[in-house]
Amino acid sequence: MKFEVVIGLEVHVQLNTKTKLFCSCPTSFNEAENSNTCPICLALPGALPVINREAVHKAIQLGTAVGATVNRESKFDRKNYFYPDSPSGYQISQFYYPIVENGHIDISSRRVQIARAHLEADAGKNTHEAGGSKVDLNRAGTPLLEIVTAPDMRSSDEAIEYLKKLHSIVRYIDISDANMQEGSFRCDANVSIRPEGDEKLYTRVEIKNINSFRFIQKAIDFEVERQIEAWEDGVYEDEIWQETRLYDSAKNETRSMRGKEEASDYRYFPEPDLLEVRISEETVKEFSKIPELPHQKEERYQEELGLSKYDAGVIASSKELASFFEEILKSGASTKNSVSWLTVELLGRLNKKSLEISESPVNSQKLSDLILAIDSKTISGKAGKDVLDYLFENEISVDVAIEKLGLKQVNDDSAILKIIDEVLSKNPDKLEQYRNGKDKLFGFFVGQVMKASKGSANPQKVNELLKGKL
Amino acid sequence: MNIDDTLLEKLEKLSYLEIESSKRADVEEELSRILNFVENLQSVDTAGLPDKFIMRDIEAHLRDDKPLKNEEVPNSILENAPHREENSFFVPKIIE
Repeated sequence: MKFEVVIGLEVHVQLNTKTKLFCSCPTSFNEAENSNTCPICLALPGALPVINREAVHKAIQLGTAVGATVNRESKFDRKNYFYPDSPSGYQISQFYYPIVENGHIDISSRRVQIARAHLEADAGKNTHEAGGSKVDLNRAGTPLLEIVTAPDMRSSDEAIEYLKKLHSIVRYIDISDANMQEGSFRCDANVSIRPEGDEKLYTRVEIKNINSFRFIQKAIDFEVERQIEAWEDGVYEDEIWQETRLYDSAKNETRSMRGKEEASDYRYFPEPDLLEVRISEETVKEFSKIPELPHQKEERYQEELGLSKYDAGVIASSKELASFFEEILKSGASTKNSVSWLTVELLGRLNKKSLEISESPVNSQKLSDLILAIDSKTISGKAGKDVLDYLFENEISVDVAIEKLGLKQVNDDSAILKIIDEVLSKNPDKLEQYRNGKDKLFGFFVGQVMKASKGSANPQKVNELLKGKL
Repeated sequence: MNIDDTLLEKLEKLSYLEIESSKRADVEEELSRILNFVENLQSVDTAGLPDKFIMRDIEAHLRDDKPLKNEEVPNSILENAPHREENSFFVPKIIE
């Protein structure tokens, strides 16, 4: 039997506000344990939450970016559960009336519907030790925007494509640093299978705690396999039930978090300590003005600059890469060289060293200088690669690097002709053969001239002049 | 609504509490009494009211995103914690 995979994703984006969602505690990272806390986020009796305006604004921006409805009225609810990371015994979230609904992100094979995005408070952190657990509540109350899709994706590849697009969007509109390792972009995947052609949704399993794109893909693939095997072995009903499973990247497997009978029961009810959030038309208007989005940039690069769809997609996929590219263009460097020197040469070297564009030892100014030197034929493309390698190791200017490496391209006819004469006089036999019709030897002469010039001669010029001489 | 033994067991699980067997009957009776009292609310006619209904037609006040930090507050709370380890609260083991 052939199966269809059905995936829905929930992403928790930690908003980059200065303060928590319901109190004025800073959201700064790496502080001493529990130093960013107050009676509100520690849930002392009588302390009352007050909503952070900026978190509401960021939700409006996300809503706009994914073409969603920003609800002018939304409400908060309590999601009840007992765990030491939440001192109140409940999480304040938006269950019945979320702030954002009905958006979408287009991936290459289909449109993924975003059912809703709602504001909620993050929990604290537990560190498990022998004899007990340490509780740090610095993160408790940090604003999260949970973005939930419909069960629209049909493979782990589609899920990853959606996630990368969403990740890029939240960074473009600057509502989160979306750092996956630090947990500011966290993904839960709801995975089920069904016989191909079947319209019904079968039992979904939620996989939690996955902190990289690669692991999300592996976790989904493992879970799909597990469900298909259970179906084929005739034990689907017994082994697959609606539950939350944890992904263990070391063993590459998903594991049940609790027994079958102990289904969670969050007993949602309206948060009595908070009134309805109402957003005025002016506020919606003001925060609907968002920067150019990745797909818009991608289209503009193709239409205005004539980039290929692939190149435009690579460059527009990250905000940092796109602004790096635009800075190079501003310097007057040619588009063609800018694209290849950024996406092939620079990114290739950065990938080898596992560096992000923001950590590049060669900044946009230096890469512009290098491309301009190539554009103006001051150095050859081949020499440019050596210069770039040299710039990765040495903090010097492009001019100095070219000078040091002696790579300045020779464009001067007389200098090249002098080398050509030397090469010809050293190889009278080959010259003879060539003149007798052995055309293939032309390449040999070009090679010898380039070698004699230590690669600095302009190859086009060498070709031209050599043809004349022969 | 009455709380029976099955429901009490579920509540124990959800709340991570264990009720001693000698006290079960009393707790069941007390919880049932509380629920029955709350059930008085059912006598209010809410037909036609929106489920977002609130007593006064006002909206939430929103706060500016300005940080405030007073470490004396968490310090004094930590001092009152039953168990602490340096700056962390310390709780019984929660993962088997």
